[in-house]
Amino acid sequence: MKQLTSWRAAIALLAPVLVLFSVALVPVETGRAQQTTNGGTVVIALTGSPPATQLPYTPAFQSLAFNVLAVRLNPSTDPSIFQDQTDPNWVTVPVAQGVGLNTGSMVDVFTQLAVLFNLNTTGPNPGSAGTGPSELQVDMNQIQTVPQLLNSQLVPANTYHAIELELDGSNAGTVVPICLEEASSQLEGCIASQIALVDPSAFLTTTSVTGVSVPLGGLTTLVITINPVTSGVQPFAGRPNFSGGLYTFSPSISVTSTVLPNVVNTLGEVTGSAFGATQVAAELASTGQVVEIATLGGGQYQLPLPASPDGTLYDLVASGSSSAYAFAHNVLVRRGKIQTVQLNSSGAGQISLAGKVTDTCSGMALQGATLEILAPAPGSGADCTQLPTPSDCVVLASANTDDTGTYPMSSSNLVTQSFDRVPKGNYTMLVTDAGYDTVASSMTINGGASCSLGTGGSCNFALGRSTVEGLVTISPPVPSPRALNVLVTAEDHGTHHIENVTLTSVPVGSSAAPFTMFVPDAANVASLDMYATVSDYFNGLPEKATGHTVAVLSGFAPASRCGTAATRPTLSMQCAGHGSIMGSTAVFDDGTSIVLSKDGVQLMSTGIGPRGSNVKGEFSFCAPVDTGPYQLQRFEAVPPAAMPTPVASPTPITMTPPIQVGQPCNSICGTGSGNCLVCTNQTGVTVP
Amino acid sequence: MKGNLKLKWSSALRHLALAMLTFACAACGGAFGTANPTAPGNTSQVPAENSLWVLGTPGTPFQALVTDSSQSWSFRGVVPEAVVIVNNAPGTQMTVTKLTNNSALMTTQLFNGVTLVAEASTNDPFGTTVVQTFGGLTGVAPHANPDIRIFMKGPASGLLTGLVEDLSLSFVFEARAPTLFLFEHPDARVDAIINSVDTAGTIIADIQSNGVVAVQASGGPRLLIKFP
Repeated sequence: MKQLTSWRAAIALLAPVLVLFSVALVPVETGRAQQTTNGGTVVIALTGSPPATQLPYTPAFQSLAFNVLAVRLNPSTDPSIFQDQTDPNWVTVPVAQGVGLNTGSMVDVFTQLAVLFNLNTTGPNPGSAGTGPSELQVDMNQIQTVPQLLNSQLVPANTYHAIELELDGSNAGTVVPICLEEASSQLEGCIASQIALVDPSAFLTTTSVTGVSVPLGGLTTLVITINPVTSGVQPFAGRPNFSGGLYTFSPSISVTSTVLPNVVNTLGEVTGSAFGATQVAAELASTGQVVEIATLGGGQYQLPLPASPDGTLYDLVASGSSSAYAFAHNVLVRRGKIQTVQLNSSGAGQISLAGKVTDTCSGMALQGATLEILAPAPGSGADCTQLPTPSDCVVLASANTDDTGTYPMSSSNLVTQSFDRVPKGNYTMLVTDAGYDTVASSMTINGGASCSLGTGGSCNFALGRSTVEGLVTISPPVPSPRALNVLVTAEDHGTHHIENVTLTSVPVGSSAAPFTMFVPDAANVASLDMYATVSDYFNGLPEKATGHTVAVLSGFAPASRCGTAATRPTLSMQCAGHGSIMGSTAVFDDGTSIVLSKDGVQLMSTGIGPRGSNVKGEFSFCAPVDTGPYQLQRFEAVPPAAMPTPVASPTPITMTPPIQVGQPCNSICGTGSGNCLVCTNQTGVTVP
Repeated sequence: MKGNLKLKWSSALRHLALAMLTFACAACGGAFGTANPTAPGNTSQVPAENSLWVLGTPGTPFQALVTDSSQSWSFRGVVPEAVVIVNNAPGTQMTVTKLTNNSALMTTQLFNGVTLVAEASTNDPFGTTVVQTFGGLTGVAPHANPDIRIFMKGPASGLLTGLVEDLSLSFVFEARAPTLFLFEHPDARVDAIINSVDTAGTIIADIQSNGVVAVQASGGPRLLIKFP
């Protein structure tokens, strides 16, 4: 339910992709130093904008996501090349590993295994598990602010004129329309529907007359713009004639590309020297979220980086096999601009850092805990052992624990720099895990590792916590045929900072279920806000937007370490249906978001359509109908790490009740009356 | 031309090595006292297994509740991770929640065999995705008991193939590490034979019994692990 989809969400979408870029190159030994003999590198990003609302043809969308499989390039200038997908000159750039788990150019051994183990792969019992297509879900509402990186790959040096974007024809994407304007249609909104393509077998294609030039040993950026609606060709192919039915699209693409040092105007570039390092990672400033990694050749690096219209702040971290970290903080990357940042490092001894994280109260190993090595930005003097962590601290390396509580997990080398080579020096080790007290320990690396807050001075950590036990209730009782899950969330009082989430299930015919969750103890968090949401179904399919009211509890006191809270909260939800709110704000930039609150508890947030888009200055929400008013408020943040803060007075808004229609029908939840609820939309809401 | 020839030889050798390893794998199907000494399990008689991929921003921790019509499991993990239900009963639902306050991407994909069944994404702080097989389920099944899991946690992103079996059944797989196998209603004892296809590094695996790591093993390019 907590939908803090601010502009920061859009930026963070970039994070997963190019961290795998360097990993993907490793198996074929094609670091930048080797590229001169094999070809050049193409960096591919996706951008676009949701279609403008043009009722009654094109509704507004809460989300509009296409499932992207790959991009294909061909040097041919012959338009008929698109009809020849077997042409050997096609080069495929798939979704990056980690975002997807595709086999890329790997040999597909599943078929061989099937033969060897006497499987029938084409019959009704194909048997066992294998790798399948992996996809990147690209939400148009997100990528309209900053492009989303698809992947980066070594390709033969050439000029490519034919460009294809491959969507999953059988599962092209998902759309969540806001509640429809014409109540008479009785089409439910704020529910997910599948996208169908007018021609599911066809790739999206475009031809570049000048071509995408990939020079030998060079780096080229290619930005593909996805146009969900092809103007003048297919305005909007069609919405369904029943709730939850297919939305049909006929999208198209267009491209822009340049060879560095020129930069496509939705990207910026950072370049420079990094002698002593083997790679340079670009992270969203102060977050540790890696956007891109450059492997080095000749001590020079190039990082084409996506940027929002107002620019995006990055941290840069250079690391090598026998050198100290070199890093820079808050590097502002602007569209179409190139800047130089030197990241030369000195030699330093290194160690392999490992340890364990456990639960103080039970002694159990904690799986999925996150460990980050921090250092203050040069010249900042920040004390990174303070909590919350100062924004002037830079994440130099991170790792996670495995099922035995041991870090670094083997697969952690997909994450920033490896703990296998931590240079000698003084750092802060930040240890976090949902529901547990955060530890920020000073750490010294000098032949071995010592941590001031580790167990016995080691870098093994025991995290404290407390327990909350409570009850959720649903009205009316859960109808047949399926149980309803309820998500209970605890966050720091008066903030967006979530501490933990737990799931409980209310069986059919029942109206209540107990829940138990771990939260930080009273010494670490003085007061919590709690809220609960029902995971509702529409026509048997799970939906993100609930039809039950959101239960909120403000100012809950957690127990002391290892204790259980004295108060047992009860969180009650009623089926009321949901609706949508559409509005605009006149004052906005990349850091603007609109927050929806109930009784002082912030429930969800959304970004604003950026300048130049089809939906500039506009926002929308899907929310359950509540008897009391919600508050809508504009928040602002300085990109990218700052916590958004309110900047104007809140606007109260009471949701319009849903329409009730008789059977046969489907409903987001059942009121017990036998009627179904169809949501309504409120437009024209203005937030100062 | 010379490079291409080298590539062809390399590819051929890789295929040959794979064939040898998998034949060896098949031949030792009964090496651990199983009842299927020459033709592992009843693989050809079972339907495709359901598996889940949790993808997105690497390093993003998550918690998951996985249920089918017979048993359920809850666990934590880190993106990227694959989860396979071995010997699963009909119907599967997987609810996955991010455990970070940031807006990192998390995508969950549900497969039946190699067929993508459902997909959902979130970048909300502590956002949740739910994916299910067609028709869904009526509720969350009782927690698996015994709860036997095999966790292949290395090498990172390495392509692995092999066999997971108990005394009655066996299942082949192709997966990338890390992959968690949830064994539904295991018959007495379980083992796994894991082959590294791309020799990306040392295979690391363990078997958990009711939440406790019972056996750990590492090696390669083929790894055998069994419990008890």
